[in-house]
Amino acid sequence: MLKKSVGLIVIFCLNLLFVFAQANKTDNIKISINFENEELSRAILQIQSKTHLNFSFDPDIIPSRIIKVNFVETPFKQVLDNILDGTGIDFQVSGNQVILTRHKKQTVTINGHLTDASSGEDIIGANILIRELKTTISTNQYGYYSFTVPEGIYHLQITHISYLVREMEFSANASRSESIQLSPSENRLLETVVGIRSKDSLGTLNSLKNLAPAELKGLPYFAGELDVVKALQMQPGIKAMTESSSGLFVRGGNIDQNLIMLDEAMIYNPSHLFGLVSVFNPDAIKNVQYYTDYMPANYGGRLSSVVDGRMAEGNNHEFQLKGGVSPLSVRIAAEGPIKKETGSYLITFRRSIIDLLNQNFGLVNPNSSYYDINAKANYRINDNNRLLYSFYLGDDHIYSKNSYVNNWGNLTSTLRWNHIFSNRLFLNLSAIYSNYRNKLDINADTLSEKGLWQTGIRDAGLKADFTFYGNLNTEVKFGVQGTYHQFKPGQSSGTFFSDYDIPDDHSQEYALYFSHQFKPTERLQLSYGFRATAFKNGEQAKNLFNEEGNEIIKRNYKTYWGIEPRFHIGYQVARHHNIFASYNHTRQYLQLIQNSELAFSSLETWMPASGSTKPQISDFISSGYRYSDNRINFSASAYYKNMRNQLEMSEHTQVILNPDIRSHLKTGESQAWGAEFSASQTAENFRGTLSYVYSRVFRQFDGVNGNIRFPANYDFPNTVKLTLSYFLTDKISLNSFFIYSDGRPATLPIGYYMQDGIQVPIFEGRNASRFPDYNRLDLSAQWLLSGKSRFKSTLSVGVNNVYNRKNPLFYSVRQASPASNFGLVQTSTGIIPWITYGFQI
Amino acid sequence: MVGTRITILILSLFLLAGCDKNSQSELDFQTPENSYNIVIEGGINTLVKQQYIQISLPSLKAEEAPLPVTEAQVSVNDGYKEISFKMTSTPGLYSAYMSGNANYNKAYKLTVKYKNVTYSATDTLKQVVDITDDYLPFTAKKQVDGAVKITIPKHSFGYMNSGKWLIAYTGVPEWNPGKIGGPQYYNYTHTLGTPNALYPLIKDDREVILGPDDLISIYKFSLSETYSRYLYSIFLETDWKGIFSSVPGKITGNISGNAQGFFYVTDIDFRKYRVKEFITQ
Repeated sequence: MLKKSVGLIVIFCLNLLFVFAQANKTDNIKISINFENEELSRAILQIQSKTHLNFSFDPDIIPSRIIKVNFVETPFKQVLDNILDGTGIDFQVSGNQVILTRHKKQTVTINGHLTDASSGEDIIGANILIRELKTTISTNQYGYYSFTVPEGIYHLQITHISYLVREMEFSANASRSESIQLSPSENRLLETVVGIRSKDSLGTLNSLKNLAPAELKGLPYFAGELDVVKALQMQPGIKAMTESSSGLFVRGGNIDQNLIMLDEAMIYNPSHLFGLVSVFNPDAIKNVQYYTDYMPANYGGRLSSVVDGRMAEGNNHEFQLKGGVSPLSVRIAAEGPIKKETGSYLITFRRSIIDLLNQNFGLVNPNSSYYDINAKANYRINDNNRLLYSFYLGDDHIYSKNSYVNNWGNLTSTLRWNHIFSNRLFLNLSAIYSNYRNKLDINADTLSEKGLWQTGIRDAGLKADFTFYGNLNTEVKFGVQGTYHQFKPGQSSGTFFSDYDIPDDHSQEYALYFSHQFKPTERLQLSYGFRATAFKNGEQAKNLFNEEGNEIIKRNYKTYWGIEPRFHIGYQVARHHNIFASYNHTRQYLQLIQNSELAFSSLETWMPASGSTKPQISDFISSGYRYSDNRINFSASAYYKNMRNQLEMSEHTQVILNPDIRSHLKTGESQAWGAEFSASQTAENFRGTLSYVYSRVFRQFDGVNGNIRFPANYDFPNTVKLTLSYFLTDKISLNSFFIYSDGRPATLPIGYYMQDGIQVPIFEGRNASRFPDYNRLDLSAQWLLSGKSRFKSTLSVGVNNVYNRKNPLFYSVRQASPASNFGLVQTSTGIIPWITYGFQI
Repeated sequence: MVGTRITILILSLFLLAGCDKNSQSELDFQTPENSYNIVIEGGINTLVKQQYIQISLPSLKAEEAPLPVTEAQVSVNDGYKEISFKMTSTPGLYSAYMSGNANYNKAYKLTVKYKNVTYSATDTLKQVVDITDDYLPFTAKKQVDGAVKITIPKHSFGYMNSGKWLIAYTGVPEWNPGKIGGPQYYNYTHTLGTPNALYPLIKDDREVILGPDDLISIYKFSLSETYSRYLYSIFLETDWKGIFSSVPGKITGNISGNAQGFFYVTDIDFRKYRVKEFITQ
């Protein structure tokens, strides 16, 4: 037995020695071979012939590849390594056998930032198309991307409307971080527009819409003042009640149902000069993303839309100065590196010049003015950590000849920490502060002591947003948010007793969310999410006294909570043809207490949900079809939105010096539905978008309009918009914007009577009539004055309301004696020519 | 390329040619769905004994004036007795002599019978705060030449008491209770704040240059809380109508049924001053 065992061991060892000897023998085989455009499969056969080894493989696993390389006295293993590199084919040598097998691929994760080659700024919302996988991913709000793919060589197409399209071959052989740079396009916007539309993946199903600076520049703005809000108003499906106002009405949503943010801080009043200009300084804004359909679960707190404005970080390569002048303002901005390639800053200043030009603007005293300051700094501590700080301060000062003053403004401050836990897990932690305040003189022209009415809202919050990049087709977002609100609905000062104050509120708002986006199949994309929210409000209890007669400070608390499911599905029925459907359930715990007929910004009073007012709740469904190829985009969609716990003030209720305002708020419902059609075409020198929207919005409240449903003030059934851009040369572009819509609803008198010598209108049926149809054509031309030098400047000229259409703005009662022609239509500003100049050094 | 240019040209021509160049138009009244009955204007005051109440029909056409109501039966109960009003020589203007009508904090009730329908309204007499105890709703500034510039805003806000004022001087007639129609020169103080942020910035004032020895007559009328709110609602739809206005709404008076207007009771303080008494600088 022992002898037998020893014999077996000896045979085994001899066998091993033989194998090692054979291995050494084959290892030493060197060959000289020259491949001249040889197919890979034929090249393998030639190696077999040269080495006299037996190659075993399945021909189907050998990819098509042309080999062009020359080897001289090279070990054959090295030759195989070389020609099989990146093919996913492994080989194994056993004796004189060479076995070729398909490589069991490992997945690798590539992550990093996409940056501007000239300034080093992160690029938001760029699309990275991985051609081999027919999949597009996008960079996030910090230019970060991450994708996990099987090992291999991929061809990427990276597009963004403000940059030249970049095509690159990418070897994903190991997980790594890699920053990618894009070069800005000079003035040839259309090159990139074509590029961005060329993706053939399900990326087109995404509900996110992006407004980059390049898109913002080519539009004819009111008085030439480049303005984010005005640009949004030109988009299909977003409505403005009148030109020159900053109100946004999205798919039947009211003016306060839009989540408007600047670097994540809430902007409660986005207006300067009652809405003529928005708070977004074009020199400070890098990107605006907005959602009007599906609202991902990481956004919440408003029912109808999200407008996420991001400030530029500043050039981290070199110092730069830019600025401009328009009929409404002058502006200047400076940016540069704090430490080259590592950190940068940006400071902008803008001021109105209406007072400087001493022109009567019609509405306000010429001394009235506004200014705003944006500042931002960022510093990359290391590859995985980065700090960003943003600051905004804006102030409006409106003066009257009889010493009335109305001041308002926003202050926001955001400190953020970007942390990359791993190449798949990204965190943004934000500490956010926002303060909106509005002050108005109550009795400035009396001999008594002056009184002031103040309203405002102050927020302090913390927010953590995690993004987990799973497999290539999976992205998970989750996070938590907490905000402490301090509401001041109305407080008097000076001669007035605090009895006239509206009780204030202190509230805590919390949100926890989870959002998952994935592609179960190549054609299907699903997104779903949940947002759990809780809101605890403490309303000041007034007129409570203890036994000694001292006022007791007490609050009445009320807590609300809810779950907000969100869902979106997109399906590619054929190449370029997509269908989609969405559902949003949203809750809004704050509301603007306003009953304005128009959408101009006035004394804006925000109040929270409380014991007497429930949170607003909305259910939104939509579905549609989209065709998208390189040059043509067409979309058709329909939606229905049901909004509950809407607020309407009782007729003729005043906010100022009215402590009982809450008892004058009526709760009701609103329903909105519509269909939107949009077609855009992009050619070499031409870009145009034509849209038609049919939409209706109705509201119903007990105690308003005899409890009968009535059209909302922002109910415009038919709207047509046409935007055209034509590039005469590389440096000259022509742009136009045309809008035609039904006139806005009007509550017209049915008669009148006399009181104290005044003709008093009699009303019945809210919004039962309409103003005449609205239409307007704006034209502009842009001329890039200097090109290749460091100094760049742009001259723009334009005309708003080219054919001087007198679109009705509002009507007022004309007092006549004897009474005649009772109602009179007032008109808007009419034709406005303008010229602007911008520069960059 | 040529096709694109032609497309743009055609679109531009279409837009320019297709649009209405008619710049401005009057609005028509909305067609009423309800019927509207009488309108009451006027009330009872404490300054004079002869009282006047105007009754009319609302006008449902912009170009037509309201018509007077001539066949109404009008009476007022001051809490003690019913006083009948008779129509004066002015169609629609009813009048009666009332003595001892200073029933402060008491209700006065108006009853009107017209075409077999009875309408009623009640208002409470609130005692006026003396002119000397209140802030005057105007300013007087001495000019270089010795004259005085009087500035009277039609509306002043944030007062402790709401009130209606008539400030009369040469060119502005003294108060006449029997003259309910025609141009009026009242100005108002409101306990509520400004209607919106813009109104104070664009409002109109009445300005006059007077000599320091010229006489100014000041009438101050008390307003009940409901009358004050009623007037505020009227001004929201008239004087203060603008781009910040709220959606128009029905102005509710104190007349029963589907009648319009307001029957008020007012206490009046009346004083005369020399202009120089108001000079602040």
